[in-house]
Amino acid sequence: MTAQAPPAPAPAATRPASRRRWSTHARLLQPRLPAFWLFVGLLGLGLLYFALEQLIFVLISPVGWVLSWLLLVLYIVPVVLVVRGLDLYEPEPPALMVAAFLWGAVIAIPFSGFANSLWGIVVSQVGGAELAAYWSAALTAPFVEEAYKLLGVAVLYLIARAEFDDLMDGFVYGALVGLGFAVVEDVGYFMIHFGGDVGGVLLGFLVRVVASGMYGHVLYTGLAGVGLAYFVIHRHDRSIGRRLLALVGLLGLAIGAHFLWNAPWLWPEGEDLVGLFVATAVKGLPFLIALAVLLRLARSREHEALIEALQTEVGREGLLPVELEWLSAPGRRREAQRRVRGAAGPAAAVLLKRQQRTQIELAVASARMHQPEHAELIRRRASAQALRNELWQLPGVIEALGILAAMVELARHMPAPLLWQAQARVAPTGAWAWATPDHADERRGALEPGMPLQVLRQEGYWLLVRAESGWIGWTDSRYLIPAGP
Amino acid sequence: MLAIVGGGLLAALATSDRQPVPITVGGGVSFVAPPDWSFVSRVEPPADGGDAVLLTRGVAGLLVYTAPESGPRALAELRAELLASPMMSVGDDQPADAGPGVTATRFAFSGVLPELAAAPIEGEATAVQGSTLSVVFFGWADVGDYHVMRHEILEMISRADIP
Repeated sequence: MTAQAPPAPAPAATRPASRRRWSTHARLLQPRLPAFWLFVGLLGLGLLYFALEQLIFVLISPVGWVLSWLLLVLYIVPVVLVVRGLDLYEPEPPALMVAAFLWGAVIAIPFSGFANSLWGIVVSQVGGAELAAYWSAALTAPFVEEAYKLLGVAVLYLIARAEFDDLMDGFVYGALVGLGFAVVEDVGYFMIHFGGDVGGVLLGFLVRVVASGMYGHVLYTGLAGVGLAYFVIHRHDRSIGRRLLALVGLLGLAIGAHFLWNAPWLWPEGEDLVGLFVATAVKGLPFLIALAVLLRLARSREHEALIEALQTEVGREGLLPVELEWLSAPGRRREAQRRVRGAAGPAAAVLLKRQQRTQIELAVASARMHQPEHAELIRRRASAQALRNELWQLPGVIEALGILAAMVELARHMPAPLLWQAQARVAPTGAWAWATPDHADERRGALEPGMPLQVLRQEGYWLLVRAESGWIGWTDSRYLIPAGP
Repeated sequence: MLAIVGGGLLAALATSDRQPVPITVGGGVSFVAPPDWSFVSRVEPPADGGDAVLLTRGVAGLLVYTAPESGPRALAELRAELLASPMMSVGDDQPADAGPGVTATRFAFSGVLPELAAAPIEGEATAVQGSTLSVVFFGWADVGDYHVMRHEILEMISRADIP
């Protein structure tokens, strides 16, 4: 359609772009990276060990083994929900979260087991059997286990560097590695140390999860993960000394917390449950508070970054100035939801929550993609705008939110999101689509021949097109033919 | 990954030829436990005024305690305690070889002692007479297993340092 256009690359029909979004996340599957293959190899070895160990537990007591896992699901689910809840602004890809859990559960466990045994022998040979009996767990496990768990976070960083852009990311991956480790270790404790029968498993659950589940490996590796995140995300703006201080300091804090926990101090004799709760609180609470303070700082920093990222979006279709004000503090966001709920009901509040979520995703995408015309940004803006239009049509919402008439006018004059309408088709030869209007952009995918498309915008020979699935991308107009009847 | 395991292996090998650290019981009594034995804890001694430590090796256990009275008297008290359990049988006192110049007495026992194990056990109690106190080595294992670790217990007794 445009005479000066460079020749369009030959179309190829692979990886249809219409079936996916332009990725804003790093993937776990990275066959070109040695770290990925290291993870795969260790996971394979670890799974063999895991299967054998679990088989032994089944043989000891099938009922106890099943009960152990059922009870531990009650621990896994809320911990994952809390971790995900803390990671509000930029949820990590589920595949990487599962990988973190598997590192702790399947890889770190056997390596720690072997290393703990060997270092335990050293403690016994140097300090004697009595010292080893009381102190071996404190002198070996904190160093060995924290190192192996943090290595997991480091390997995930090497696989998906783009995912580590805030302290919260280090916490999320660290906490999940710790959770995986804690769960498999707990099954072992229930089956061996607590006898494996129903009574023993229930007692083990009470002691190791109910009384102390908040303070264990999730806390330790969460702390160390924050240290690693600080080390890697500040590689361009902090001195190596300061970064090492943060990494070693927080890893040291994690090891110290683990050491204090494993040390024989304070543990009550016999089945003194009150003494147990007191001991666990004294040994674990200070570190939990330290982590909470760290996470609050990280959250506030992440929030500032989000607001900064949204500045470039204010006034576009996806974000009005008043909406930025609501997003600027979690309290204001919730207050807006409360007011909408009061005026227009719970469904309206859910709609507002979805709009705010979409705008937060827009902020994250905007911070990652520095091209304002990126197809993913355009898609998210349209999505936020559509949700706003839907919300504002509900009676009482505009009044409840205190939106000025001028703001309503501004929103009304923004170009409305287009309803789906096929305006062109991909030629029988197929076509390429790009994330940005640039033939050199490597983020491209193939469009299937005959696929119907809607043209949202034209810039020279470049067309911003939308598929019926909602996918948006840029393509060269020479690939397309009229939609026809 | 391998550095931590490898480091542990090298450190274990490097310290393997160190003189073993003896376990002290109390009253100057000490002994060396073979590598397979684990120290469990210090426990309440059966005899008043003494000290006691408990060791384990799988299905076997060894309670070592000091007693202010003579060896035969300490054994007699232990014998009475064991016989209070209706399912225990206890042999006669026999002189035992516990090293040159050391006076020791021993009896064997077998039966069920719920305080120690759910399964039937067998073992030996050996009282070694020191100059100021006596030391009792009360070793046991599941029936059929005691003979496997008996020589290790006798070695601990013969190498014990008893003032």
